[in-house]
Amino acid sequence: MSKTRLIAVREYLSAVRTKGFIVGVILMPFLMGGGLLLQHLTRGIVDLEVRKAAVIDRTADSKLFTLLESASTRRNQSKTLDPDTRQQIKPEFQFQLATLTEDLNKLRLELSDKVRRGDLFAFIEIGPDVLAPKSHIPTTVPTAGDAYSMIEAVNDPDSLVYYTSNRPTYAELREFVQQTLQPRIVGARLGQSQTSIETITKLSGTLVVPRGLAEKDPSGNLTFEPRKNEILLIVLPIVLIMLMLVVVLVGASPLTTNIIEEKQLRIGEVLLGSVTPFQLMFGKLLGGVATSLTLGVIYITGAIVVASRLGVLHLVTPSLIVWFLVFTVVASLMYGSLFVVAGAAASNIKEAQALVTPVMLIVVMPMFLIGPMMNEPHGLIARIGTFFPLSAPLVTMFRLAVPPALPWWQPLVAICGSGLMMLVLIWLAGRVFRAGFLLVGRPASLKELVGWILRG
Amino acid sequence: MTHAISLDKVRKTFAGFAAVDDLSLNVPEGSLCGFIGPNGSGKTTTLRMIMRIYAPDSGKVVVLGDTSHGPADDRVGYLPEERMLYKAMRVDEVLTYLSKLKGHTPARGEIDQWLEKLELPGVGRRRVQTLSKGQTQKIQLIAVLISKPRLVVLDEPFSGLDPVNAVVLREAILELKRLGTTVLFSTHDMSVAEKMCDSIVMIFQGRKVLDGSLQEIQSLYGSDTLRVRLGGGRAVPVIEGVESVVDFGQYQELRCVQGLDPQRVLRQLLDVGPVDLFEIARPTLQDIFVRIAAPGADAMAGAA
Repeated sequence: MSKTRLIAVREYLSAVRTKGFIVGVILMPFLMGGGLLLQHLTRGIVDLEVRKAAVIDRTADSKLFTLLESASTRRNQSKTLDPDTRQQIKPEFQFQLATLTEDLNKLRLELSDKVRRGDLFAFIEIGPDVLAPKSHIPTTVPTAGDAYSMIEAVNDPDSLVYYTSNRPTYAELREFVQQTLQPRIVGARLGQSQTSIETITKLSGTLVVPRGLAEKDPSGNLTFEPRKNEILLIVLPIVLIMLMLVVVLVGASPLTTNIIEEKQLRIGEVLLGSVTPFQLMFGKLLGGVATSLTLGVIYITGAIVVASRLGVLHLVTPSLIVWFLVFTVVASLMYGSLFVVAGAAASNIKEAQALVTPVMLIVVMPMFLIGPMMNEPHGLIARIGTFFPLSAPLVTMFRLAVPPALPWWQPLVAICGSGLMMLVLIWLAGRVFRAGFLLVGRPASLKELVGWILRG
Repeated sequence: MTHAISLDKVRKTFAGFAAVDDLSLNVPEGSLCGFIGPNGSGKTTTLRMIMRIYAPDSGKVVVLGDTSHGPADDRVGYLPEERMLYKAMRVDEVLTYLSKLKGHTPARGEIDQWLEKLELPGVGRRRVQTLSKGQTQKIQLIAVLISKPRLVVLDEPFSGLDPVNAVVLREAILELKRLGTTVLFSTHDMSVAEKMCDSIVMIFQGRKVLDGSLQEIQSLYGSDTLRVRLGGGRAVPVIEGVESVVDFGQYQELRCVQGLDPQRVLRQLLDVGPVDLFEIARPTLQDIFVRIAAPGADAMAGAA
């Protein structure tokens, strides 16, 4: 083990002394800080161009246009200015009433052209029956299409408000129209059925509320566990395994080129006069993992700082952080050994790149299981992912971050399985390296590789 | 006699080609053994089997009494033919690293002593990439010797060295022998092998063709060579029993058939004029090497 340690220490020191590593580490806080600074600096930079929208109001007396116009005037006076500096921070909205003509389609075309030319930001068409919809037989409910297809299917087109713009990602104007018109339209419709909006809200509101498990406090009273933050429960496991992947790939992927260089420089033959191929490969792996963990500590510290700034650090339990560190080490070792095998089997950088592609696919494979695991954290797929060594570290970490808690033995099985896989892979890499390290420049055939594994 | 290295009927093939075949040899402890042979004869493969880098397909390799197939133990130092060092490391760091891998932690000042001994004072703090080729080769030799191995295996140690550095290396190897270290080295330089080695092993096409001391090998090939210089720079006439004549300018070398009486040759030469030089010479290692390894000499393989 001492020779393995010697190799690992040399590999680690040679990696962390490189300019790339040092620059990366020094720049990391600046990059992270710079990102926050950039966000802060660009926060006040917004396009203040007036958003002009034409309104085809087909209701009687253009009541709803009047409503939009007055609401926008109030908004432009109060919501577009910074309350402290009185500087404009949002664009004004300006609504123009389009003159109705006999040929509505011609009007629609004219306004569309104005939107295309940039004369208008959008135009809004308010159906004539929007306040009092006529009875309507729904058309066939579409099985495909977006959510608005369903709305169009069940409503009479004359009872809808259409919003048209060639900048659909700008949602603020559309939302303003929605928020301004919706209460008036719904109120008018309810008024016709003698029902107040409050009554409807009470009758149709959400009735299913998540609640924590019941437990007894020390005084014997029934209490409920605090409600979990649902967004955090979705985001946290994904963030954790993404962070783990970054740490693993930063340290593990250079292992392949490192071993190729060892072959090309013929240092391997000197080393094989002193150590076993297994010791050599294992030492290189440990050095690479130590490098990735050094970076990992920096990244994780940064993540903790960011989580603290966002006020969500208390939601990550200490045990989860410990598990994360454990599985980051396990993942680095196991996935790193795959890159070591690729380096041992390749005879040059070009060939190594071809071999690294399937290795990368294996490493990111657990990401494809996120969907099924999110629905069924203890389902069959999740369990298979935990017990399959090549996916175990990432899958188990994901499951540990999603309630309910895993049985204690499952993480242990995942660790042991991954550790065993790592040892097997390093043993294979050693055999291939010893037999093939003199074949620089000539790719080994599959038959040769198998022969090296079998005969050493 | 204890043998530092003992190979018994060793065979190693690559993709069906026998790089080493039925090779048996013994290197006595404390001896200096030269391992010669033309390119591709299997020298490096043999040395790698001795170093446990390759496992033989069949046969037995015993090194310092050890028959295991693990790595070469810490008592064996190895200098491969194609050798490099980590370029970004400092000389003292790389020497400490390689020495520790052999289980030896250099004492304070030990590295500097070695550097001075091999005429490299003051380079300990320099990066390997700043050294010349000759300096790098000497650092590689120090890396082998610093751990005080009982057996040293050197693959073409003199290749690429200028005459001055070659002398330094020769002195270092001879000092090892004086200290009782067994040294086995491969070389293409026959004069080096002749001058330095207690015993010489030659392999050709994977098989051993010579094994013994220089005297033993020379006596095996007999005194069949005559060196002559005829007066007036005349050419050697055709003489029955003389197989070939090679003109070296200052003298001509005659290769005779076995049993030919040199006196008869001398008389025939005197019959045609004065003879300035007449010498009965033993064949040099170079002669023997060329005779065995020259094109068309394949039949010699396995003769020994």
